[in-house]
Amino acid sequence: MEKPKLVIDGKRIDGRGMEDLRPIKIKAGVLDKADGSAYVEWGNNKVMAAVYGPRECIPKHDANPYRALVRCTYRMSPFCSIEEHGKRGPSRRGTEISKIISEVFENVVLAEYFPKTAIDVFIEILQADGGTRVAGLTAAAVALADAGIPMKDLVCGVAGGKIDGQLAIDFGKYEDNFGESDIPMAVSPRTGEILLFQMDGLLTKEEISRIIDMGFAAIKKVHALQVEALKERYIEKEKSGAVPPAQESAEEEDAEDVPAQAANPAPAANSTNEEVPNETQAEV
Amino acid sequence: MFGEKRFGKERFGKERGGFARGFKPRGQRQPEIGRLQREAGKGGEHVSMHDAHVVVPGELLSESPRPMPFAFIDRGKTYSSVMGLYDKTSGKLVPLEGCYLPNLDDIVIGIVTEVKFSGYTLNIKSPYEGFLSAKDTREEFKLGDVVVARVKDVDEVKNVDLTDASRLEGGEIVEINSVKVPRVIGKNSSMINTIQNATKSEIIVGKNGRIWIRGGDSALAIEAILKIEREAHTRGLTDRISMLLKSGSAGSAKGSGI
Amino acid sequence: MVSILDEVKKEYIRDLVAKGRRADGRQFDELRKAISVERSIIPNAEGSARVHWGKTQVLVGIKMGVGAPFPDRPDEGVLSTNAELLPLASPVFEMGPPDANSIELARVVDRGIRSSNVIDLKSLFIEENKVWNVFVDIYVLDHDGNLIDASALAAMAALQCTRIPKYENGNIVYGEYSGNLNVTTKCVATTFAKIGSNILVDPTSDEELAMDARLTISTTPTHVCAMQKGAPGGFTKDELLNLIDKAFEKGNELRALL
Repeated sequence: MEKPKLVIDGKRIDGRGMEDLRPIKIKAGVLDKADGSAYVEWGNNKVMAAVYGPRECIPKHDANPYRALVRCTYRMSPFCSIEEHGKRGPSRRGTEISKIISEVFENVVLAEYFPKTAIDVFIEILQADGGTRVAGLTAAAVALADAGIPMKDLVCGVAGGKIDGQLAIDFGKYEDNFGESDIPMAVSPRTGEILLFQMDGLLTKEEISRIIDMGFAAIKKVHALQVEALKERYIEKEKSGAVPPAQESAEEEDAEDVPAQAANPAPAANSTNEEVPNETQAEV
Repeated sequence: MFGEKRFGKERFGKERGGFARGFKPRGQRQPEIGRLQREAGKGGEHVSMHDAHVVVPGELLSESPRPMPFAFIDRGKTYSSVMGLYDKTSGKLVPLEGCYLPNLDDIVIGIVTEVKFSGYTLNIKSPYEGFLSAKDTREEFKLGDVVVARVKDVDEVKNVDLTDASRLEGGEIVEINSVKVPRVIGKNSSMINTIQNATKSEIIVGKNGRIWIRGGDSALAIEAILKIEREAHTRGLTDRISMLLKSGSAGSAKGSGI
Repeated sequence: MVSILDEVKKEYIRDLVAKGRRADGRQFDELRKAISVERSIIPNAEGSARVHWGKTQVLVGIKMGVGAPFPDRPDEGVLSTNAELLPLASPVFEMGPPDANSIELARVVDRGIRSSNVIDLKSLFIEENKVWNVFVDIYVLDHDGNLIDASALAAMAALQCTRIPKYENGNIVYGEYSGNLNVTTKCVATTFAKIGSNILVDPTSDEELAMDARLTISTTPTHVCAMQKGAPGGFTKDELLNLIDKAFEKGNELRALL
């Protein structure tokens, strides 16, 4: 079968430029039972992520006495593809992706706050159209923040690579299938640290460097959407019958106070209920 | 069957508000409620947050190192690790979500889940269980008893010892997210006192997010508490709660089902 | 240990029900109010629907493929139903192969659809040894009880909007369609929970914890097409027959949503 053209006159089959992201929508707090959750639409991808934890670590012998175990599972629904019905049950691809995503969150989650527990992250791909692992990871980060899990950063990712000899970012499934190289990556936007990186195909070092640059630029935009999705949760709540936030009302008597969290999370907590401002924080 | 743990099932502890519009604790002895209420009202520093804004993990709080809970310092700058409210003026960061982590001297409300020769294991609505040594109490407890107790010790691996335990009899339990508890208590217990005065209910607020209510217009008290949980991060809440309490109960314990 | 909390919850629900009340304020014969259906929300699938049922959320995706028929029904298409109780839907669901609850859920939903001939399987015949396979996948996203009724409603809505892919020269052309799946009737399920001597319709997950017996009745506008009794308790004949009447009544309310 003849390989279809993916780039015509500098535009891709859906009209995007080489560095354009597909439209992305992110919503936090979409499930009731989960401790944290997020839903992401990324192009035609539809991804749901949910977090349970910190909770008791089962099996007990997996528990770490010093930190929480962060476990991520990535799975695709059998109806996610426009092609035929998917196999029911775990897949080798899913297992690999679960592992590399778990490794990202093992890095950024401040797991020392919760020794002996498990933090379980579930990523379900409800509809797939290329770049599901980075969309899933992006959703999972929002779900973790929604659950109140302390992290060093809100991570997100994007996939880049080469199509029709040209370097581009954010592939749809069609581009994925017929492109020359695919690089899913995830980054801590705050530090620029690369926490997930895979590559296939044939590329030169310069090409990879350029793709990483394009990726970083795209990730900045995705990160802004994650932040918005989380902050929106609180504006929404305020709309529901309450008063808008942070008005400088000198008149208000005593109780426009939002109380500080008394719980001191640092290990070896022999603290009292007062804040202990000199408590050592985890140096990163 | 009692005491048997279902392997791998159900995280114990954290529940969103609405689990129990009340389950009724069994028991005979009366705890010294007055003392417990005063104790429970202590702690939970209240901070003026006039300039507070929502921050997310990794967000910059300060260009200089400002150690505080739930923040971390990286190369001399301070960042939030959680989704929370940050007030630059007072330099306070308050998480908006999260589970209960036990601290020394916290008053908590637990449920007895295991009875051993050496003592009792209690579910304290946390990833960590509490243990009440038999030596630390003269009362005898049964599985399922609702108990108010104080955290005596928490070690580095989060073994939690409890003491000063009393069974709570009758009444109902409401569970809220523990990060909202200070708001329910209020500055110098102002909020909880307002609720108690209006409803004439006996109320004990556990730091762990379990609140025991007995007598009076308990349905109204529960409604007020759940409203505080939902709107804890907003301004003008005190007035809205006062209004709610004045208008009386809008209905019996309303459900989360709809 | 976790089961102790469950026991406490159970007692609370049983107490309430004995007094004629439900935790969310509904009547015993009242469905949840917030039931809604969205169709075609997964365009990659040939058919799909999501149901919000109170706090329960179920997504159903329908895919179609071509395969060999069953040897004893060579002129009929093949319907296959599977359910996943996703771990993200509840702390009590684990990763792993479908357990007995998930299998029962799939089979009960399937039975209703099959018995009532919602899909005319004969219309799925293509040619000798080639028929359409209809894969119904139930994805439970949020579990607050009554997964059977919510899944059955979602499956029905998904089938109603299912399109048949083009089939040309022995190949399926996914993304192009030759028409709609022919759906002949509206089959819905209604589930009742018996708690003590009271029977309630549409149990929440807490009520399911407390229930002694469960009866699901699937109906078309004119007939009963599937029944399934679950949980260890029992029903009398009169109770059962009376519930059939109720099932038609509630079934009609649900059919109005389709």
